[in-house]
Amino acid sequence: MTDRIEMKLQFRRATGEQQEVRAWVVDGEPRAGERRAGEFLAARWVELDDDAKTRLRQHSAVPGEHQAAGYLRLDNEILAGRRLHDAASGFGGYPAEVACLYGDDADSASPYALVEPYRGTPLRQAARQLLPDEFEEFAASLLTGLCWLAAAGIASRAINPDTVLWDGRRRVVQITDFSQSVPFGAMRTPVRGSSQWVPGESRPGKCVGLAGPADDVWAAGRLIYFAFTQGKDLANREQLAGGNTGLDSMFRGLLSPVFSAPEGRPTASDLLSRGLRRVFTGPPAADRSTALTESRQRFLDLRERLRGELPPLEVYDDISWADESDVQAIVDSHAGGHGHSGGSHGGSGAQVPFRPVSSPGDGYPVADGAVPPGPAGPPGRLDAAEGSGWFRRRRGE
Amino acid sequence: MPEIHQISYWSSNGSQGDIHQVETSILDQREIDLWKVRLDPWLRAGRPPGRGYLRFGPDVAFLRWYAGAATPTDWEYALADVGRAAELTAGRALQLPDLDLAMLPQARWKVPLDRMELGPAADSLQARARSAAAVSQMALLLAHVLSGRQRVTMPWPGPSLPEAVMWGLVTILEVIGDARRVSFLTRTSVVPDLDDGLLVAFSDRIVEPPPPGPMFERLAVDLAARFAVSPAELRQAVAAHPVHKPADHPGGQLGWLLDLPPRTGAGATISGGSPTVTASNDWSAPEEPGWPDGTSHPSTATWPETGQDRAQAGETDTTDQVTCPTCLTEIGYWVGQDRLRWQPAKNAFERIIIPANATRTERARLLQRAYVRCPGSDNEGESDHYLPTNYGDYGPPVVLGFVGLTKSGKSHLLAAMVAEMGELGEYLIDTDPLDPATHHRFLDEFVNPLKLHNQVLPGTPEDTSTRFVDAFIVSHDGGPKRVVVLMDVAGGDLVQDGPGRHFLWMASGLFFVIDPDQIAASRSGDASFTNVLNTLQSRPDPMPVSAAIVLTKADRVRFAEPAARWLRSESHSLDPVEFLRESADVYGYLYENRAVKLADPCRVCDKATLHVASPTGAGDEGGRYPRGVRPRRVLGPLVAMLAMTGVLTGRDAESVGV
Repeated sequence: MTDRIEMKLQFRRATGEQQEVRAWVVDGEPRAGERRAGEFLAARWVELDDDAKTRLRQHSAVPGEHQAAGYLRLDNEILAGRRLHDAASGFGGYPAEVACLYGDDADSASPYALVEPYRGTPLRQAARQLLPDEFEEFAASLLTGLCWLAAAGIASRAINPDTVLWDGRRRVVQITDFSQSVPFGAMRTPVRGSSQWVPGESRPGKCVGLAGPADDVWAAGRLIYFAFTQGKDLANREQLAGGNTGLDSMFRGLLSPVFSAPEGRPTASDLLSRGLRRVFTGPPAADRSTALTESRQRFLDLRERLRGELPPLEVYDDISWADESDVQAIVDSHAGGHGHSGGSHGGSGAQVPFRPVSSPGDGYPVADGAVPPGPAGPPGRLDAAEGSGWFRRRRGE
Repeated sequence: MPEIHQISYWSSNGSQGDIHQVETSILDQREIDLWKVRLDPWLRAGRPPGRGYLRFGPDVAFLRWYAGAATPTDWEYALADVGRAAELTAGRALQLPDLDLAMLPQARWKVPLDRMELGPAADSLQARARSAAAVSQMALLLAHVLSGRQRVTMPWPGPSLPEAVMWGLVTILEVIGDARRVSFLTRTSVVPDLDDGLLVAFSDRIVEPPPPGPMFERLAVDLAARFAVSPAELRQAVAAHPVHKPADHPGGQLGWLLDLPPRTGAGATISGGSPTVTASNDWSAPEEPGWPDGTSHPSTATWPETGQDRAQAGETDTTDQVTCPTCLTEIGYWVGQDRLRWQPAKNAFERIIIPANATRTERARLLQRAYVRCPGSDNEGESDHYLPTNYGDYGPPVVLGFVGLTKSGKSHLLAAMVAEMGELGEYLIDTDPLDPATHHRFLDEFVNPLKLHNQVLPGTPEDTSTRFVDAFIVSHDGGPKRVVVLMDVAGGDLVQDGPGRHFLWMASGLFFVIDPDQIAASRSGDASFTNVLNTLQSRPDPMPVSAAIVLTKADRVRFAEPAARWLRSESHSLDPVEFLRESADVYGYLYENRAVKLADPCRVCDKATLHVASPTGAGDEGGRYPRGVRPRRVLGPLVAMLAMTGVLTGRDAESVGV
């Protein structure tokens, strides 16, 4: 520690109350992972002048060309942090598996987030020292963290060996960096980064659909393999089922579907409870969008009254982030139920013509789980499991 | 039984003296008094040997003035025929037999009430009306009338001729189906006010009416010439036209008259060898029309290229009538209106003259930044206002307005929308400013201070004037072009009744702007919304209106649903599913905040969507946006509105809105 710059911080605690406190900027030798705060964000240490001399990470937008993008990333961190606190309240304290927002000043000219110190070592370094008997704890803890994110209705979209830390002493994972996170139901936006860790539906140029709990599972599956092999990247699906690993059987056959299209993926809760036979004791996965379900339904009722020709709404009684096809059906029914016939999908889906589909052209596995040949690569290659075409109507159909 | 009554008046000192009733056939004293009050200013305005035909709603009065020995230039006696307009038409009144002046004093001015038949004067009137002198006057007068002017004052040409001209005029208007109420004074020195309808006056004073648009002149010359040759043939040609549409509005619906079948012979000879009229129906023809007196009228020697020319080239869908969004004046025969250009050195507009032999390129160059002066500028309480020359070139313009309380964020939303319009290309939407000068002014005054200098915009001045903010020529995916006009009104003006709200009577779409900070105070409704919706429900015409309800300044609630979700959702496709989802979410937000009353436009308007938008991306401090201005989702409401109002085409566009 070399310098201490005094300042006054006014911020909103993650639990809701306002706080004003004297603090110092603390400069020190960063440990691996401590400096990192996400793209376009910078981190520094501050120490609050309170009884506990609380030490926190202060994240703020990097000045310059990308400062506006930094503000948006900071908002993402704050939203995720606040929601995680909301989800954890009443469930025995804040979970260790996800980074903890201490407070934020979201609306000032120089916004920032205060984050409790991360715990653990990035898996990129820790994987090499991960002991075999620690692996299942790692996997269970990672999936528990994802369950917490799902409870908060947040997709991290940044699950990778640099953002997921492993605390070998406590034998617990910590998921950090929510700067690219989005709430469930938001449209997916492109995530830059290695295709090793970004699922096809979120890659630039292929981004499609709405964010949901399946978004993080794809990268988590790869991270589980990465940890299991002490730092190797998954190259193809056979590596999961092969005798060398037996990972798929460890998860009772649920790991392979992780690498399918989002709607075919198991959730983190599925992997934890049905795969590893562990119990997640936190709140159930929150579809935050359904908080408005009832009032949304009133809107659809109003719409039906205004447009009396619509079909009964009980067919479409759950308009949530995962049911875009139902909404599409409503739109189609208003428009006459033709035109978007979805005939190329081979079904009779005139009412719900854009149901998620898996077709060879999509590059996603067909029902039996086999990866079909596709333009993106040879059979069996995970890269072939990229593409688009579900949940969304493609222009010209 | 329908009746026409008569009243005779006497004045001790002509128009300046006390006017006394002498005799009448009316028995009801209240009716007698009513007519005395009604006619007083007109009796004083008229001069012998003039005639006055005055419409008072369904009632009408036909006045005749007679000079006395002591007042050779002013009148001593006046006679009024009064009744219902259906019974006493202008044409019939003009053909009534004149009185036997010698007999009247002997009869103590008890007029022969039974003489309502058409007399010998009818034939002479009709013949005079087809004379060269009358046709010349008639064509000029008709040009003014067709241009939509409601008050036309012509110089008095001498006895008898004004009556003949008026008879010809009312005949032509009746033939083409112009149902305006026509009043006239065939000799006067002053012109009193008349509540409605067309008023033509022939004045003793030197008057030089402004020139009508050259296209009106050409059309008027053609009609007058047809009338001169044969009123019956004119009537047959009009009746036989396949798209015969009555012009029941001032100057309106005239386009079909442009392609009446050609007259027999290129030039019709009038009254046995009098001057030849060579009006043409071919508006792009370089030949100049002759004038009935054989001369070339100065104002027809040149004429501007108009949307009509471009329409003939297949470039536009020129409408023949547009409604001024500022004052609601219906401007008839748009293509023929004078084109004007602002001359800074003269601090005035100047009429654009284009040589007849100008090439299309030259015409286009000369018409750049041209305007049309709205005739409604002459109305009481209105100031001069102008519309861009191409305003009516792309079919009926789509007028969009912003509704919300003061400081609700209307101006910021509007400025941010215009700032982001370049992104509309992602939706396959092309936009071009309708009037570059207006557009650049809006950029300079609003968009650039906000977007480039991060300044908080001042509120819209509450000066009871609607602001024609900007307008664009919009097309979708190579489809037809439409003009989209953006209007801004101060929130305070929306709450009050006033001219600032005129555009509501013709708006195609309205953005209802909700400030999340004002929701708590608006749970029982928003005064501006309520007033506007009341107006919409009072509109007499079944023109549809769409609503986009916008939860603006959504950055202030960006950590709560639905702003948290939608502000992070950037989409550039025209997706009715997305609009429906967003609408349901915002409706849910209003419901959860007990402010569902703010969604009333959904019930009143024909189509509606609800949106989340943040014009600035973050809050302000000290009059500035310290983090910079980054609009988010401001194009969504605009795209939805363009879809709902039919500017965007295709099945997806048709499916937008509830």
